[in-house]
Amino acid sequence: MVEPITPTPIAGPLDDYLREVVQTLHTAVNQGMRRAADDPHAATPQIADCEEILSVIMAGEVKDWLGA
Amino acid sequence: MFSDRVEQNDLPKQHPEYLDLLRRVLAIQADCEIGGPHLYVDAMLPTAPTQIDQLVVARTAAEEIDHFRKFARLAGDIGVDTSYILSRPNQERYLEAFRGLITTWEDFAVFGFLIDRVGKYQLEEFAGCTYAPLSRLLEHPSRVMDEEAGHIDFGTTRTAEIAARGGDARDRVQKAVNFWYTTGLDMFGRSESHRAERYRHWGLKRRTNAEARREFIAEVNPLIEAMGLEVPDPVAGRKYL
Repeated sequence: MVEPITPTPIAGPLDDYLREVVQTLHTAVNQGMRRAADDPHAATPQIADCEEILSVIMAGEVKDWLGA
Repeated sequence: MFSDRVEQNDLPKQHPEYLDLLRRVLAIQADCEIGGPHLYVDAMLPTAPTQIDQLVVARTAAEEIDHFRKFARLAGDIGVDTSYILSRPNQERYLEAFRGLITTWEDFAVFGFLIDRVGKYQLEEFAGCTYAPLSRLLEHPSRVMDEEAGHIDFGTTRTAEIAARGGDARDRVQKAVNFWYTTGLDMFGRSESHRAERYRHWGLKRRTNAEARREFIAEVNPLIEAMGLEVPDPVAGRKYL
C-alpha cells in the first residue's frame, strides 16, 4: 500500500507570501501600540495599514498574490 | 491502537485511512484558523472601542493567519492544496461556529473567551500525536499554543469587564455567552462519532469528543459564574449531542 506523497506546487510560495504579510502586520501593530501608549488616538496610520493589508488577505485572491 | 511516530517520509507506507484522516484534519484546522478573522475583521477592526483594541484585533488576525499558514504548509507538503479556503464564503466553512459574522464587541470578546478556548482543546489533541510534523507544531513550547492562550486571556478579561458593568452591558454579554457556549459545545462533535474513534485509533487525537467537551465545561462553567453570568443550558439549542 504505497501511495506517492507529492507536495503541492503552491505550498512554498503561499507560505512565503503569508509569512511576509504576517511580519508586516506585526510591524504595523507594534508601531501602533507604541504610539497609542503615548497618545490614545495616535495610531490611526498604523490601523489604516492593518486594514489595507487585511482587506487583501480577506479577499483571498491567491492567484493575484502569487502572480500565478 | 496505532502509536508509531510518523514522519513525512514515512507517509507513503501508511494505511490509506491514516492518510485520509490526516489530510482531513489538516484541512479542517486550516479552515478554522482563517475562519476566525473572516468572522470579525471587517466589522471589528474599524469599530473596536479604542485604538489599542483595534490593534489587538489586527494582531489576533495576524496570528490566526500565521496559524493558517503553518497548517496549510503541513497540508501542502503532503499534497493537500488548502488555498481555496482563503476565499471560501463563511457559509461554507467546516464548522458552524465560523459560518456567520461577528458585529459586536461583546461577541468578539466572548468568541475569544469561549471559542478560542475550544480551539485550544482541538490543538491540544495534536501535541504528541502520531504525525510528528503536526505534533512538533503544538508541543511545548509552541508559539501557536502561546498565541491562542493570549487570545483566550484577552477574551476572558474583556468578557469579565463587560459583565462587571452590569445593566445593558451585562445583558448583551450574557446573550453572547448564551450563543457561543452552545456553539462551542457543538464544536466538539457528536459524542458517538465514528470518525472521532478512528482519529483516536490512529493516534491523531487523544480524547473522545465527549471527554473533551466535559473537560471544557468543567473549565468554563466556574469562569462564567465568577463573572456573575448565568451558565447556559448545556443541551438547549445543541445540534451535535
